[in-house]
Parts: sequence; structure tokens; C-alpha cells
Amino acid sequence: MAGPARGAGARSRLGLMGAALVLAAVVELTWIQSAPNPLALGSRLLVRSSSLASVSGSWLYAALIAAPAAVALVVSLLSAGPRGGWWLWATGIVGLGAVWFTSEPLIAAGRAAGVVANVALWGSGVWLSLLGYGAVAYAGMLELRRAGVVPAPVLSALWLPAVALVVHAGLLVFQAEPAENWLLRVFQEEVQAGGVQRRLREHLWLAGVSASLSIVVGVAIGMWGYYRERVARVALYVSGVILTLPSLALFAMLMEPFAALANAFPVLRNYGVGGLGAAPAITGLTLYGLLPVIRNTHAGLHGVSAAQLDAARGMGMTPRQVMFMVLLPHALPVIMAGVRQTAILLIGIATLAQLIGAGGLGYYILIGINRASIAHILVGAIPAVLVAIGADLVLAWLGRSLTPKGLRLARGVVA
Amino acid sequence: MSDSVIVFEGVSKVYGRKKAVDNLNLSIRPGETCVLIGPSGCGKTTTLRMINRLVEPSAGRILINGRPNDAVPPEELRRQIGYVIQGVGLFEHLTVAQNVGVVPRLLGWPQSRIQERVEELLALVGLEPAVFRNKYPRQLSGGEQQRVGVARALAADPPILLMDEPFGALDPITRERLQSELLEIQRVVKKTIVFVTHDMHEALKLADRIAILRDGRLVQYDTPERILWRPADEFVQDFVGGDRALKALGLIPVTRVMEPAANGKARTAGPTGSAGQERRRPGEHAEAALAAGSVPATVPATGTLRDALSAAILNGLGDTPVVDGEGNVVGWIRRERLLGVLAAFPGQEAAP
Repeated sequence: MAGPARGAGARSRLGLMGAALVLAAVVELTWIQSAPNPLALGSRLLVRSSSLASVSGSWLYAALIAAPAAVALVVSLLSAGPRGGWWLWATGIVGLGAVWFTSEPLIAAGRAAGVVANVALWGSGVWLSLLGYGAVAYAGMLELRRAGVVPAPVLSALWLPAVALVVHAGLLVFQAEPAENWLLRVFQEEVQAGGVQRRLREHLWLAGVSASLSIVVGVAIGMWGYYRERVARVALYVSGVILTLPSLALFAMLMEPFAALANAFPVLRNYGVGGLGAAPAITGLTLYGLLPVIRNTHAGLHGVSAAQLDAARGMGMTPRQVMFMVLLPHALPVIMAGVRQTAILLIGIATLAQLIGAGGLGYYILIGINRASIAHILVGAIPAVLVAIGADLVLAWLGRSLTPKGLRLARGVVA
Repeated sequence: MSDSVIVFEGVSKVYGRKKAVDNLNLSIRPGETCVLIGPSGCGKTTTLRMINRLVEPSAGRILINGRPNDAVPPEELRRQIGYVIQGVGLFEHLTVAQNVGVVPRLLGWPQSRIQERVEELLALVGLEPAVFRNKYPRQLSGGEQQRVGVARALAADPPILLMDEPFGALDPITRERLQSELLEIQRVVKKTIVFVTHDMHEALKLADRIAILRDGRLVQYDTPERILWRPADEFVQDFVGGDRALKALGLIPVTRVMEPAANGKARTAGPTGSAGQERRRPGEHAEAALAAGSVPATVPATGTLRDALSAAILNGLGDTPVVDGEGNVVGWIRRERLLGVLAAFPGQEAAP
């Protein structure tokens, strides 16, 4: 139900902002960046620019892109409730499709007309329009959820068109025929050479192993700190300090001891231990990931009420039973929140592991920086973002399903 | 006393410079409810917690069934002693049934036996098993939570029950009801109960014996009657309150002064203290009142002498009917008998 404050004619502010963003992008922002070669600065084309207007049918493209935003603007000004929600969602999805499916033909048409050069990239206008239409669609979904008349499975299904677009983008990468868009073309080349897959595997390995180690070590330290407050204080302080170190500095500092270790015990080199590579990277990442886990374990264990602890001891539980039968089940949701933070943090920081030769998706980002190639940076960054979002969703679901049912209930609700 | 279940022998507990419990000697008999009472900081909770070794004494020893309570590991000891606390402390991640079954589980009972026991106990504490078995603590009211707390403490059928202000956090009506239910339960289970409270009313209602503590010392250990009629010193006298005579009347059943209804047959007044007085048919006054259209104050047959006095005052000390649950008159309180009994109290009631 709409809140009492939201009467008839109330507006969706998010929908309004999204639609306005799209219209501004169409009017004012670079739609296509074009250059003769990847290193040249190139020229920026607006949808409404005269050069692009000379392309036959370009006004149609502009109209297709802008029309859903115009409708969404009106809807979000005039209509709230389920009807407005459905309209916003629909215009948002149509708009996403319009931007996505016109961008390639527009580049092709521009090339045919001779106004777009060999290297063509989507400009900020395309990205911001996608963002704006995404916001419009999401505003519609919020409106529908607030109205409370749409069943939950249907609400979830409303995400499907957006998911389909992402899947379509992924499929384009595997297409045999080279894409018009330089970003997609770089993606295609790297995927076909197997580079993206390899770097992704390295990335998942680095982040996965170090996150697991952080969790095991962090929960253990957190539990130890529960019994000894001094240990907890020192551990929280030290792990906090580690997190303030610049990651690059931490990796560099670890190179020296690992090189020394490998020199002292050359047999370790067979297992990949050395100043460069995975060993110092995983060590550094593990150290980085400790704070959220220790902090949340500590907070979670201390969140158990004194009465429950007194009862547990008074009923004859051993300290170990108190820990495993009372404290940990209670702390689990809080610990899982820390695990989630650590996983996201490490997936992000693992992009720097390539700086000490450990590979991962950072490989492409560094290449992109060296070559001033946005496309290469995105080839590294987009999969890293998707992995982070995926891990976040999976861990959020895991955290919810691990939370004991009795703790999911609100306190003091007598049913 | 060799037949005592719990014996404190010169027990002290020192925190830093403060003596929380000072050379305590106390014997608690089997099947009795011993209430520890005193002002805040008198050491009553510390005393209770030393029984199951949540607090270790600084000096002295505590015997349970004749054996020092540190002869076995504390966990083993605690599993044989029920424990109920003010904050209840139900495990929020477990259902009501799982909470009640915790100690049996620690003791390794088979699942079927645990389940059977849980059903039995929930029924005993007045919670319909089918309704409450699968609820979670956060879905229960305060009173329901503490009922589960009592059931949980009784789960493994321990001979001893420790209760630390179990009803302190409840509203007065719920508290009153749970006190009565505890008396009922105790009639069935016959545990040795050590009960801590700071509420004299609660102590008088529940106790077989009351131990009054002050600054860690035992000031008086006696039956409620003797505490009220013969306070050991001025402190106890102040602590039980200026209305201690009325409180004492609250311990005496109304049947003590009631004249049973004679099914319409006129009967003479009581045997003592009323010789030579006017003979009146019991019930005359009340019948007159009824005829005049007003309802006399009545006393329930389960009430106390204190209730009888109160009703009699409302009736102008006239004859006061005693009624059963259905409102039938089962007897009468007569002025002469009432005043006679009251006049005879001082000096007599102190005898145990």
C-alpha cells in the first residue's frame, strides 16, 4: 500500500531522475567516440551532432532512444501506484533495449557514411542512458513493491529482461563476426585467445583462496578474542592498520620476505613460492580480508545476551558447548555479513595482484593503463564487477539461509 | 543436619575488599522451598550461585546430599540442578521444545525420551504442547517465556531447583499467577527449591523457610510465621514491614475461624472466649443485608484470615459469609470468634 503521505498524483523521484538523465545524455553527451587507431585521441560524436545527422535515419535512432524517456518523465510526474509502476518498468526496459540495440547499427551506419573511423567506442551518453533507463525500470519495480498488489515471484521475474540484456552482451563476445564496437571487438579477441578465461580463473583462485584463509583465521582469532579481550583489542587494531596500508605497498613489502624464504628453502619454489607470484599476493590479500571477519565475529559473539550465557553455563554446558551450541549459532548472521564484506573487498583488491606478477583480471587493467586503452581496462573491470556482484548475491543468500529461524523473527512480536 | 539436601558450612565469598557472603551456615531440607531475601547487595544471589558453582566460595564448603559440591566437575553438578533466572535466557535460535530439551540432550537421552519429557513438562507449566512446541522464544510473552524457563529447569528431573528472582521482570498480575502455579507445580514435583527474591510478599507466599541476609550475613532463618511474629532483631522487623501482623494473618487459612454452615440448622457460637454472650443464629446479619438489597462482603473458602478480617470490616464486623468457588455459602465468620482468635495471637503463634 502506498503510505498515507503519498496521495494521488505523487511522483516517483527515482524515475524522474532516470528519465531526465537519459534525455540529458541524448542531448549533450558523447554517443560515439571514434578514432583512426586505438592510440589516437579521436573525435566525439553526439547523437544530435550534424555529422551524425548526415547519416541516413539517424533521427530515427535518436527518437527511439529518447521516446521511452519522455514517456517515463510524464508518467513519473503524473502517476503513482501500480499503474505508474508498470509504466515506469515498461518504459525503462524498452529504453534499455532501444539504447542497447541501436548502438551497434548506429556505429555501422556512421562508418558507412564515413563519419565514424575505424576504432569506435560507446561514449558516456550510451553508458549513462543505460544507467538512466535502469533507474527508471527499478523505480517502477519499487513502486510495484510498495503498492503490494504484485506477488513476489512476479516481482522477481521483472528483473528477467535486464538479465537477458546482460546475457545478450555476453553472447556477442562469442560471436564469430567481428563487432562494430571496439570494446566488444577487444573482448572477442581476448576471449577467443582464452586470455579472459585464464585471467578470470586466476582472479577467482586468488580471491577465493585468500578469502577462505581470511575467514578461517579471522573467525579463529575472533573466537580467541572472545575469551581474551586483550587478544581481541590487539587483533582489531592490527587488522585495522593493515587495511589502512596502501595495497600496493603491502604487496611490495611482502615480496622481500617471500624472496628470502624461497632463497633459504629453494624446494619451496616448486610450489610457486617466491618474491613474485601467487604466494605473496594471497598472503597480502588474506591479511587485508581479516578485519571484517574478526570485527564481525567479535561483535556477533558479544551480541549474545548475558541471560542466555548465564543460563547456558548454569544448565551445565561446558565452555566448548556454550561456544558451539549458543554463541556461534547466534553470531552466525553477523559473521556472514563480515564474510560478505571480505569477499567483495578481496575480489576488488585482487585486481592489483598482477602488479607482483600474480595475474588475475588486473592484467587487462594494467595493459589498458599502459596503452591508454579504455577497452582493455573494461575487459578487466567488467568481469571483476560481475564476479563481485555475483559473490555478493550468493553470500547474501547463504547468510539468510544460515540464519536460524528463531533469530529472523522480530523481537517482542507475540504471535 | 544429616538429612539436609544443601548445607553451607562457614561459606564466605570475598570480592576484593568486600565480603559478599560472610561465614554463612545454612541447611536446606529436602522438598522445602527456602527463600533467600534481603536488600540489594546482601549476597543472596551470590549465595545461590555458589550452590551450582557459577561462583566459587572463598572459604568454607557446600555439601549437596552430604558430598562437597566441588567433588565433581561443575558441568556435571549443574546438570543435576535446575536453574531459573530473572532474564529467563531462553536460547533464541532454538524452538520452545529444543530449549526445554537442552539438558536432556547434554545428558545424552535418546530423542524419543526427550520428546516425551518435553510434552509432559510443557503441559505441567500450563503451555499447550501442540501450540507452543515449535514456537520460538521471540514469539512468546514474558510470562510464557518464564514458564518455558521453569520447564527447561525441570527437564532432567533434578532434585534441586535454583531460582534467581524468576518473576522479577513480570507484571504484577502475571507474577502473582506464576507464583501460584509454582506452588501447584511444587506440590507435584516436590523439589528442594532455593529461591532468591527481594519481595517479602513473594517470600511469604512461596517459602517453607525464609533466610534473611544482610551484608552477607544470615540474620534470621525461620518459617514465615516465626519471621513475622518473632523477628530476630530490628533489621528484620523493619524489613518485614510495619504491617507484619496483617502479613501473618495472610498465612493463616480462613477455615481456622470459620464456623461451618449448618444447612439451615441453628448452631451455637464457637467454644472459646464467648461464654455468656448473646446467642445469635449465624447468618442473621447477612440475611438482613440481603433482604435490605445490599450484598455483604464475602470471603473465598481458600482465603486467609487477612481476607476474612478485611471482609468483616466491610460488613461492620457483622457476620460474614465464606463462599466456595460457585458462590455457595459454606460457613460464617462471627465477630466474637474472630476477635477472640485475634486477641489470642500474640505470644501463641510464635510456636512452630
